[in-house]
This record gives sequence, structure tokens and C-alpha cells, in this order.
Amino acid sequence: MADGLNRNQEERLGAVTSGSLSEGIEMRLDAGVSIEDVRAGKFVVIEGARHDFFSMITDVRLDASSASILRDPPGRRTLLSNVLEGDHTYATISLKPMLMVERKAEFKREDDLRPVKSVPAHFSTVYKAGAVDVDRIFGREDGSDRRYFSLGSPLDMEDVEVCLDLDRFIERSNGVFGKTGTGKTFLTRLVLAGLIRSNKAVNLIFDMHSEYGWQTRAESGSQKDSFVKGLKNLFGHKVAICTLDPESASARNVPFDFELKIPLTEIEVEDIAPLQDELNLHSTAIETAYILRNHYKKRWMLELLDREPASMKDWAEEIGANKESLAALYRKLGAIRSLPFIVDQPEKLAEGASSSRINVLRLIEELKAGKNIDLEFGRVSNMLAYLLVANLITRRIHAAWVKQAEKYMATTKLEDRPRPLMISIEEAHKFLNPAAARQTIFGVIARELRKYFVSLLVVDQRPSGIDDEILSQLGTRVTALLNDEKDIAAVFTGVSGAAALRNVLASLDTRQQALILGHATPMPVVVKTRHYGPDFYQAMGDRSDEQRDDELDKALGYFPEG
Amino acid sequence: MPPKTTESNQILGEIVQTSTVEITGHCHRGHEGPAFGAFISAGSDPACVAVVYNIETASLDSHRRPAALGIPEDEIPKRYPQLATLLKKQFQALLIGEWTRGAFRFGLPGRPPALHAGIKLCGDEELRGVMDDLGFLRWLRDSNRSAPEELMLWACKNLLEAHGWRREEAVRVGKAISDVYRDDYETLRRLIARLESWLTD
Repeated sequence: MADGLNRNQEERLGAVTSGSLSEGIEMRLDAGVSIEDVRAGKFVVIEGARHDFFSMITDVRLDASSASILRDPPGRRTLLSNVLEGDHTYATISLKPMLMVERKAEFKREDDLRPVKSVPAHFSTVYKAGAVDVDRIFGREDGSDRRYFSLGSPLDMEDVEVCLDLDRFIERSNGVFGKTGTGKTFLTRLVLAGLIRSNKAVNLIFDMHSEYGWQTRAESGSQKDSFVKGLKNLFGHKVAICTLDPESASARNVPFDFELKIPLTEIEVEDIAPLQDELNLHSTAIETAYILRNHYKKRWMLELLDREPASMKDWAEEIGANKESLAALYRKLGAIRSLPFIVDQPEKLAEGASSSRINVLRLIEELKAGKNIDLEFGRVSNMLAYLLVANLITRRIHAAWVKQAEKYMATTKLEDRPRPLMISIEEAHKFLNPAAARQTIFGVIARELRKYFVSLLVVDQRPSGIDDEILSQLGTRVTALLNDEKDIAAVFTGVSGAAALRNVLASLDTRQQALILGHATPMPVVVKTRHYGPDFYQAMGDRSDEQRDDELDKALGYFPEG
Repeated sequence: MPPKTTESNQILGEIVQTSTVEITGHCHRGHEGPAFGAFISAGSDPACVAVVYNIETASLDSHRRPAALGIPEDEIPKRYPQLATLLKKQFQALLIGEWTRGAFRFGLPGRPPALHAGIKLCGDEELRGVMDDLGFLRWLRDSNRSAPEELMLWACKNLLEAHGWRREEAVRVGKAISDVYRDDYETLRRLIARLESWLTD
């Protein structure tokens, strides 16, 4: 189909009537095409003289050649309405050209997909895009390097795949947005599955609602109320489930690999600082915490929480702190000690390989070794626990990766190159709101981008709560339906020509549809998301339990007799 | 040459006056004249097509003017049998196109058909050919001959009759009318309503 003249005339939609580079193209729909088949978000091709312009339908409008027709409209299905249809009453479709491709015999995705710098001439024909067009733009999943990962199919093109370029995806921080119940978790799990399968990046998932690891209940669709496989269930040894609540995991029959414990002595003041809102801490309380840290070093929190409340006054004088602040800090940090995964002292066993109880350091070692980790919160899915753990671990990870990246810069040896890491956080606005983004490590990661090989996968239902600066740095955005104007505006922060895409976003279905735009796709596209079921498991290389046992036997050097 | 038809081959009259845009025909004795809006063809190589816009019956001798007879109409032939020979049936028609290589081409013929050329009524097959190029409808309106709107409607009626009043053809003809009345929705609406009333009859 490199030669555009070969297009099937049955795929013709209409002809370009007006337009501009800045405001997009207007097209008149052919009389024979039903306007109800033309939906916002649909992918079309405008055949120019020498270029194909790949475009998205952004608006559909009814027009009439004269106002008098509208003043006295004809009855439905009368001869007059038939006569007027298409000539005097017609549909105008707004298109947003996203890419232009020169028509020539050989096509190279890297070189030939160009941003739109001109518009097609008057009356250029507009066609529905075909499978070949989608493949040309988004690539195919069948490549041996697993660079492309199919997220679903374009609207009305069930058997065509829209792929994410994973190499580009991991280069930057990314976002998955959508209001509650629109399939954010599903989309995130899909993207994570693609990443894990490709081995392009190692993942750490802060799984607040324990939905990604082993299995989760499908909320809709044909499998409603049945259970779908989680990442561990799909990828076996590539993924480890680390839980903060082993009781909950056991009760749910989740075969977790590790149990994370955080000793009080490992908590730093900087880990507490971002919890100001959650703990209702005054800024003087943080200063007091620093005073304690200066006196007692790593044991500051232990010393504080072990004190008798009665002795606070004398103690405050002794260390030179404000007694009210000290008392407040004591009262409020007590909540942290009561979290089930907090232990007083580092456990010796934690270092041993035989124990499933690990600390943060060991967790980071696993990540460095390439193990994808799903950190389940079980029943401790309160915001305090989530913020504390996510912030604490991510700070340590950041430090470790910065160190490794610096080493790599010094040696420039490939083996010193840090493994790309993507950290998935839910309820991201809690970490990345304008106030918190300056304090939490997530703000730093989102801004520093790929310098240190760590990026974020931000999952949120309220993108307007996220700091603008961070939103504008997001590489790829996968967005399910959003209704709130502020949220829609937020998703398009830092995206040029967003006005046209707003209609598209607001008109998505509530389920199984998402708008993908940004760094990892050559142009924004609406997809009907891939079905997450047995076919998907198969495609991800899922093996039956028997096969897995056989492989394990072989790996252990045990061959059954015969 | 126009396609051969069975019902229209009879010559009903001949041209008595001819010009670039219109012809006047006399009916031969014993022939019914064409109806208002009828398509007629006249001449040969090329045969021209015209739409009848005026029909009149008048005295052959312009000095003898008909007067009221005061008797019932059905008795006239019995009591005044000579009257038929003293009257002429005459019609005027606008030239709208010609047949070239078997297809109808809308537009004035380069030369008008000759005086005394025979005039035939277009048959159904010819009318279906005329439907291929409906540009002449605007001409009928702009000619300002007799009642242009009516002329256009009756011409369309004749065309649709030849198509057995098929709805898709009615829509096609309607669209051609709508081109003519692009700026006059009220008239268009009225004309299409008339067409539809015939369609549903």
C-alpha cells in the first residue's frame, strides 16, 4: 500500500474541504457514509499528492447549506429529507493530522514518520485507515527483540494491533490515568506485563490494593467476577511478590516470596517529612525530628517512641527541643510504630538467604538482579503506610541507582550500566501534588528523567492533583475516560495541539478504551484495549503448571526415570 | 440517433417554426398533441430533444376567430364536423439537447432542426437516457417560458414515469431540482412536496 492510489474506494469517507496547520483539517463526509459510523478517535488517512497524512477524527458536526433548512426542517424519511441529505445537509468532520509519510516504495519507521508540517490540498480524499497503515505507524509485536507490545486495536479495527514502543516507553516517566472504574488497573497490568515480558526494564510495583501480584477479580466484561491472573501468576520466577501483610497474603492464598520488614532504626527524618499532611505534623515537629536525629543518629525514632510521656519535658530541655513539638512528634509517630511491618530492631535473619523476611536493602538487591517486585500492602493499605513505604524504598532505590549510574559514567563499561527500573505508584497525586512533589523523591525522579535509569509509572484517577511540572515531563500517557475538565486539562499538560484531543478523551467508552499519546507512540491513538484472558496469558508465554514443573526439574538436574 | 422505441416512433407532427432555442410544431390531423412538459425529438443527425412548454389550439385562418357555440361539447363534432379542419393544434418546445453517439447531451444543438422535420414523442428508453444529464432543469426555470416551476415539475414527472416512479430516481431528480433552487428553500420544499405526492399516488 506504499502507493496510495491503490486504496479501496469502499474505504473512502469524504474529501478535505478546508483546514489549517494550527487548527486541523475539515472534511466533508460523503453522502453515502453513515455519520453514526464516524466516531471521534477513529484513525483515518488523508491521501495527499505525495504524502499520506495520518489523522485522528476529533469532532463530528452537522451542517446545512442554508439556515432556512434548519428553520423549517423536513420530516424524517420524506423525499425532501432524502433530497437534502448529503448536498444541503451534510456532516463535517474535523481531523487532526498527526503524522505525514511520503509515499515511496521503501518505508522505514524511524526516518519516514514525520511531524505534520503542511496540510493536504483541497479535496484530497480521506480514507479509513487499514491494517497496513496501523502496522506502518505503530509497529508489530512479532519482532524478535520484543520492542513492540500490543495494547489493543484501533476503534472499529478489531484485528489490528496498536503497539507501544517499549524502548521509548522506558526512557521516560509515564502515566496511566482514568476516573475510577474505567480500567486503570487493567491498563497498568497490561503495560507491566508487556514490560516484564520484554525484559526491557525491571519493575517495582507499589501495589496498594494487592491487585497486580497473584490474581484479582475482574470487575466487568465477559469474565466479570471471575479471577484473572496477576503478574506472578503469569511470569513465574520473573516476578516476586513481596508482602507487608503476610497474614492477609496467606488468607488469600497468595504464594508470596518475601515479607518486608522495616526496622525503626532504618527510618530517616526525610522519610517522615513527606508525611506531614498525613500525620498532621507541624513544620517545627520536623525540626524537632532533626534535633533527635543529631543526638541519637539511627536510633532517633526508637529513642523517641520508647520514652515515657511524663519525661518529655526534662528530655526536651536536655536535647534543646521545644517540649510541645517533641510531645506532638511522640504522639503522632506512634502511628508508625503500630504498623504491622515495622519492627524495632533490624533482624539478623534478614540478611540470610533462607529467610523470606527481608529488609529494604535486600529488596533493592533483588531489583538490581532483575527480579520484578510486586509489593503488596494487604490489609495495611492505608495512606500512611503506603506513603511511608513508597517514599522510603524509593529514596533508597534512587540513591542506589544514582551511585550505579555514576559508576557507569566513570567506567563506561556496559556491565556497570544500571538496569532500567520503572516504579509504579498508585494514588500518585499523594506523592506528586505541588506541595509534596518538592519533598518526595518521586518529584525528583519525575524531573530527572532517565539520567539515572529510574522512571515512574504514575497511576492516578485525579491527574489534576499532580504538579504541572511533573505532568509536563511525562513521556507517554495512557488515559481512560476522564470527565472532569481539570483532569482532562491536566492530562494534556505539555502536549501541543491538545485542544482537538479533548473531545476524543471525553468521548471514550467507560470501559476497555484508552487514549494513548506521547513518547512511545508516533501519534495519539484511541485503542480498544486488548482482552485480558487465556489468549493473552498464552501470548505472554504462560505455561501450564505441568510444563513449569518439568522445566524446574530440568533446571535442578533431575530427570524422571525413562 | 435516439434508441429505437416501440411506442414513440409515430410522427405526431412537424416543425413549422424553428430557431436556436425553441421550435414550434403543428400536429398532424388525427394526432393528439404532446402534453405540457413532454419530451419530444425532432430532426435527425443529430436528433434534437425539446420540452413542450406551451400548447394551443387556434383557428387556421388568423382572421377567423372562434366564437362561443352555445351547445353541449359532445354535440359539437356531430353538428360542426368541419370545425376540426379549420383548427390547428400547435405547440412550442424549448430545445434542451441532442443525441450524440447514442447518448443524450444536454445543451443547445449547433443547428436547430430543419423546418418541416417530423416530431416524435420520446419513448421510455429515451427518457431514461435524458435522465443521465439533468442540467437542463435550470434552463427550464431560467427560460421564463410559461410557468417555469410547473414546466420543470411536469418534465420531471414525465421522466419519473418512464422509470416506473422508482424512489431512488425520484431522489436523484429531487437532488437536481435542489441544485436549481439552492438559494430558495421554500420553493424547493414546495416542488419536492408535489413530486412526493405523485410518488405516493
